[in-house]
Amino acid sequence: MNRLAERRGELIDRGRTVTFTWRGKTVEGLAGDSVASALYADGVRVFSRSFKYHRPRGLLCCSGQCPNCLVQVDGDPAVRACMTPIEEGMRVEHINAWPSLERDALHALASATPAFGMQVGFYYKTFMRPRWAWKYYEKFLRSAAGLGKLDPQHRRDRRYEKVHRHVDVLVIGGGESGLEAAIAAAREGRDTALVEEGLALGGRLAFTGVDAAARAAELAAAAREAGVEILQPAWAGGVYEGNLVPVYQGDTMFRFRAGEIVLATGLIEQPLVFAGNDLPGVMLASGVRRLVNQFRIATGDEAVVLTVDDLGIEAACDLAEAGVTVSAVVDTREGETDERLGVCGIEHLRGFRPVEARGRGHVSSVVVARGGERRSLSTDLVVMSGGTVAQFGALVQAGGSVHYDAARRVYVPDHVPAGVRVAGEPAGTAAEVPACADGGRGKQFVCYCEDVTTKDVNLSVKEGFASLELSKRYTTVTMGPCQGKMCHRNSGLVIARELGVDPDEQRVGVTTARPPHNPTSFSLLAGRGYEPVKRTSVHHWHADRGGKMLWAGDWKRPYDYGAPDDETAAVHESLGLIDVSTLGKLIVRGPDAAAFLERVYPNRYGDMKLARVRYGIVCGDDGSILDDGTVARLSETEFYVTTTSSGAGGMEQWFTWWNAVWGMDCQIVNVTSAIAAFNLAGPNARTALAGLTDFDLENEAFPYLGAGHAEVAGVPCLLLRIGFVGELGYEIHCPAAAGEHLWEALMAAGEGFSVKPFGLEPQRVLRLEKMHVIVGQDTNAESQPLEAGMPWIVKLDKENDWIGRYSIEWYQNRGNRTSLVGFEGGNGAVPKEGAQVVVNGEPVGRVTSSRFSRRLGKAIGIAWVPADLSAEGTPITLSDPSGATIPASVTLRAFYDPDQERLRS
Amino acid sequence: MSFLLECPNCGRRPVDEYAYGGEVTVRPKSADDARALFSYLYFRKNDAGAQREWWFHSSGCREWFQAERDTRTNEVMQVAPPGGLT
Amino acid sequence: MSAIRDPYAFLSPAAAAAGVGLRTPMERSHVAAGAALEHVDGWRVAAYPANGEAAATLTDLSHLGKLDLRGSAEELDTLTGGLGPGAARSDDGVWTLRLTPTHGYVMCPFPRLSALRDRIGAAALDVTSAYAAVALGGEGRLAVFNRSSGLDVREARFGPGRCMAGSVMRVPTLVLNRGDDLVMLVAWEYGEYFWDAILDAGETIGIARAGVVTVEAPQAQEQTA
Repeated sequence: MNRLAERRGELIDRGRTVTFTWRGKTVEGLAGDSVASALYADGVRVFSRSFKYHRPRGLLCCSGQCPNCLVQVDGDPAVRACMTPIEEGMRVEHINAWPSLERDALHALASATPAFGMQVGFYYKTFMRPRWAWKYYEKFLRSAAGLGKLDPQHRRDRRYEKVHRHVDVLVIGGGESGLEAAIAAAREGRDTALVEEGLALGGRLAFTGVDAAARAAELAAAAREAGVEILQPAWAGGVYEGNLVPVYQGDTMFRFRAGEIVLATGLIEQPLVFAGNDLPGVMLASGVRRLVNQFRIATGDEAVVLTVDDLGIEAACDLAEAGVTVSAVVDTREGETDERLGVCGIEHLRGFRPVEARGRGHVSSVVVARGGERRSLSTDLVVMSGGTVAQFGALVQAGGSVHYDAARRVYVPDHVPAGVRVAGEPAGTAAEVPACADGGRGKQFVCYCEDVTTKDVNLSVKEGFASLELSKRYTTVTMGPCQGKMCHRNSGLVIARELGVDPDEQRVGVTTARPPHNPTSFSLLAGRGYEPVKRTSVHHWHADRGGKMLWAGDWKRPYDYGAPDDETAAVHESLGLIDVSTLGKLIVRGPDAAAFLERVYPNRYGDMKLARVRYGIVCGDDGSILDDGTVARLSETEFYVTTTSSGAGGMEQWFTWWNAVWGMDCQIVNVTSAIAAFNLAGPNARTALAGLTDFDLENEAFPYLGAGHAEVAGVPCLLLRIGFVGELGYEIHCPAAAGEHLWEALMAAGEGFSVKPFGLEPQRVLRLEKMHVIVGQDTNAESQPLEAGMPWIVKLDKENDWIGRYSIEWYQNRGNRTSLVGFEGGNGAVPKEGAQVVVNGEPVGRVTSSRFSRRLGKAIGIAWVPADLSAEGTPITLSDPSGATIPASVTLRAFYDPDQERLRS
Repeated sequence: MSFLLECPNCGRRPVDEYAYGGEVTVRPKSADDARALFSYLYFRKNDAGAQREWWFHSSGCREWFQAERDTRTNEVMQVAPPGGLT
Repeated sequence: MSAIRDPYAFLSPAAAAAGVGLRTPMERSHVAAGAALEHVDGWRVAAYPANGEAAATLTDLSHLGKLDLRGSAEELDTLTGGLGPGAARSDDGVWTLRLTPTHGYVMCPFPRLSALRDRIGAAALDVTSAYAAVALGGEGRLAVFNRSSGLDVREARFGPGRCMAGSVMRVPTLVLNRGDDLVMLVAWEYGEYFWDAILDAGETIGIARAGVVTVEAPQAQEQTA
């Protein structure tokens, strides 16, 4: 199709063609065309099929507000063709029609069956019986529903960026008011950014004639000169708390934090409601004017304008000037012929209302009526100028509100929150929009997105859904891709008429506009994928030697190195080495450090000697066990506290919070990161370690539960003789920067003893053989020390108040109801962790840990049992999830080396 | 939730830089009154309106402070170091 | 008892013997990128070719000495020479930072750390190995930063000599504006992740790995051989 003569304001570059494909067929457009304009220029009139009825749909708004031109572009679904510039090689496909846009099987189906007549709420009323048929219905419905196709094999091959931006002023909307506001702000010296969704700056100025286009260019230049940062085309996704506005441009999300947001979001032209108002060829006046002014396409041979106000008259003159034949302006208002139309020779039918648009697949005539008089006008382009409404979504999201001004028949801003300003026309035109005339056959569409008709809305009101919010939930009106932009006003008018009231918020109400403002892909929301990962200083050594690096909280840790049984055996028989750098480590120092620890822990720390280490648990004020670890005394006023790996951050917060409450003269410093820690364990641990240090490791000089400073392999270390895994062992703490060096030295020193690195799984077996509790696995949020088998840790005779004291005293008075005990499996079967302890088939407890111990040749575990079953040797019955019933007996002492001879050797 | 919260040390930051520490409560001085103890442990006022609460700047200075915030609108009326709310 | 007097020697890489090659958390990334490792002040540091073209550069500074300063507000006033919270000052290669009224940091060349710590006394803890550090330099550094963090680094709000702690690439970070670059400190265990994440953030801007030691680019070496 040839384009109209070149004119200021056009977006096309006549010198450059761009080739793309539409449904496999090659199409040639001009650089600057949108996908919609290029296709329309090529003669395409049907762009999609509607959501429910699969009716053919053509361009309607040409401004991204309606669903009619949604297409699939290069595999991306739900792309608005009218807002997307064409690019060389683009592949554009239709959506929601099968097998083709011309012949859509579901259209026939939708028209045929009453059940498939799909009246409002049909899914509450149909597909119920016969019940056995549901699985067939479901399959069919699933493939019929939805817009567009997602390829489940699709891999993201594009980069989605997120950029943070801070500005003093963010102007949303690049029309006349938005540009003026941005220019003023920038000239005051404020960091200003402006966002405009359209393919050109200027809003309405961009498509309403040469003079308007000139004004738009003038404002755009002034804005650039003033230093306004202009993002166009780009759109604001919504307004979030703290003036956070995501702005989307291509594959980038700009996360704006604005000191002030200026809303210049302008007006949306509304369709009129009458039979056949969804036929291709029935368009909004602003849509037609965009095609004519921005893309210079002669739309239609014989146009009829339907209007409720003077905007329609302006549109008619604009089109006539562009060379489009406008045969009549049908004006719902009574009155004389407007002289502007008289000049152009366009018939001005006043007082007429639309009845019906007719045509097969495309409009060919429109019937209008005035009282008893009916006229049928031949036309291939019906131009609707149905009034405008303001876009209030962003204002409401920002915490503002609107109310209905009955005199002006529009919603106006009510409360505008601090940090937000409204510019431009916040009200819309105050035209009276009458209902269509009676007598039209066929559906009158209120909601194009969801195929909701006036009949549907009226039915919902009759059924009791008598407001917009209620009707919306029943009919789905305003819930489609347009989110009410095309249908909020009209559905409100229809409901008001059905109820016989004024369309104000008391009776009819407004719906809440939720972000995102336009369809948004998840990729854009997700941005670049990255996940913080904590690695110890020995991480790569583990991975290089077959360590299965799995997530343990935020850390990667080796589960095992391929042979967990061998690793476990090595620790018992000779020598093993495990990386425990992930342990939390806190320094508690100061004149009140000892007193602080006495108040935080149920155990005693104030009486600790220097160079000793002691196990302890931390309780909440309700007595529950929060964490466990060790405390070593480095001096009179300096303590070194370790916590569980996953509890490190929480314990730092816990300690610092209580310190803030008590205000003691005590500092808490989190040094988890600074220190690597390794546990060298096994009968040969002393001998191997002695080769690397001058420190006296003999049992008399450095007994169990000792702490000492030593230089090992040239690295300054703290040695703790502590025994989570139950064999002679040393926990060696050193600076993380020297961690890998020390680890390598320890492995080299252990070579003569067949040292094996061991991972988390062998460690679990070893600690279980010692019946050592893992907080969070064997205990839960309600477990307290008396019931958890560690009454010895709680020093109720301490004079000072300590966290949890009151609750534990209360528990002591009440007595134990349940007990954490060890058990041995009667027949070697290992119950799953989580298996129930049962009495007469009823669950009374739970297995929290279980393994088969090769060293001991039996199944062992830890479980919660009722207090009356907790005596040594009590037989208990376990019910495994596999269905098996496993007999076991209670064991209270450690399964392995219960007298700690190996540990203390 | 993306409201801005001012740390007395570091200034205004998005709320996801912080860890929430709950309502400011008053710990009983003894265990004599079991009801008061359990109330302190398990019940919270949960006011719809101004609430005094603890915050920890976990992504930043890692210090505790207190704030008075309207739980309906997330408007923060004041922040202060612990014990400093007026 | 042990021969080491200092209860916190086990925290301090400075107390390591001469033969110990201290390593930064990014070492494997450097090696994988083809950098050579050189021994500087007891550390294994990466040597990269100089790159003057890239819009941004990233340098591993984890080997810098770092001290954690804590005390009362008055004590910190004295230690930092009256710096306000959020301010930092450089003195002959030593940076002093005041983060909060009661918390500050010192960053210095590693060989000077022990003497500085002894001079400051008990208020200082050696946290050299607690924090991995990078320097983000080049004209494009703010563009890279804005793709990594929502912290406001506009000139008027965060000019040279300012410091702050906040979230960068989703981890707690201490940021210092040295004028020509931004130095960022994160927990040691995040070092490798952070290095990779910032390089990725800079991909569309153009970012080059840099070292405190620069070497000739390979072609140049061949020519002189």
